[in-house]
Amino acid sequence: MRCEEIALYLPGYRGRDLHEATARVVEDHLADCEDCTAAAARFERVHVGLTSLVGRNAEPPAHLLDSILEAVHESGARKFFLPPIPALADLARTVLDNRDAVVSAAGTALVAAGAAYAMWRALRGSRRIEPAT
Amino acid sequence: MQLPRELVDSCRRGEPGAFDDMVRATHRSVYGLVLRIVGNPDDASEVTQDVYLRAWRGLRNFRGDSELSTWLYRIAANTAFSHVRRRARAGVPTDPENMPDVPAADETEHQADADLMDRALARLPAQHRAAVVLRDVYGWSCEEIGRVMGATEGAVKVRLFRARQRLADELAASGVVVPINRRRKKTS
Repeated sequence: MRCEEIALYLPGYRGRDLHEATARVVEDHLADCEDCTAAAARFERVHVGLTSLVGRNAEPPAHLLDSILEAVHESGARKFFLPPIPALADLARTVLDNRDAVVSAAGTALVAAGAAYAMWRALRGSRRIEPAT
Repeated sequence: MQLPRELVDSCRRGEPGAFDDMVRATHRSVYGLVLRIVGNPDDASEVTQDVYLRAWRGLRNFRGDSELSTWLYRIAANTAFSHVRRRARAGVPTDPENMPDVPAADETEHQADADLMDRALARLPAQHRAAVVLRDVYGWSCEEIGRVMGATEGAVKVRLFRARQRLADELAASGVVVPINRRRKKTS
């Protein structure tokens, strides 16, 4: 490979982003080319600089921890407005315990809905205009 | 950042106070990651808060296949990157002037490199900065970065190439003497 082609691989070479075979080609070239070795040293410096940032964090603002905890607790409190899973389980148990009452209430509701539907159909039919003969 | 097993288990069981302890243990490093991606301390605080709200809501879905800290970092990178994208769509540039100086824990031989690098990183476009930080500082794979950025592995590599190229130029412009460790010629 020529130097111009090798130059395209140098940033990735130090960052270990190249395939093994390509990395070997670059390595072989660098062993014999002083110009490319000098260019590779630029990226070595970048790599060293980036590695020095590992574990080095900016100090967060003093209020950040309290803000996070407050927001999380508020979010948790809002959850109580939704039916939690144990409440659903309690509801299911109550329904099963009062099965007869629930079935009779459901039957009454069904009959009432049927009656309402029949009345609606009757009213709708009586309003229909007969075509002139 | 590795969290004690008991704390992770307590968090997953939803024990009172466990999540708070997890926030206390991790918020510095999460803020650090977010700040490096969004490039602005005010936005970083807001995004960090959002990260923990998402983590709190999603904790039930955490299956424990990876470390809790890895899972948290993934949420942090996702949230930070969504923020960067939203800002880019709204045409709001990240303001490198607002990047704070990172206080040194101690004086090491890499101190100058780190200071210089932080300043150089702040001058990169947000997408390039995010790619190079996640790859070279946090050791993510290009595939993982692509998933977070919504980009192919190839696109991530292009961003990495440009970011490293620009960083090398910045270091050269700042007058850093680059040591040339010439390899010995192969003898055959």
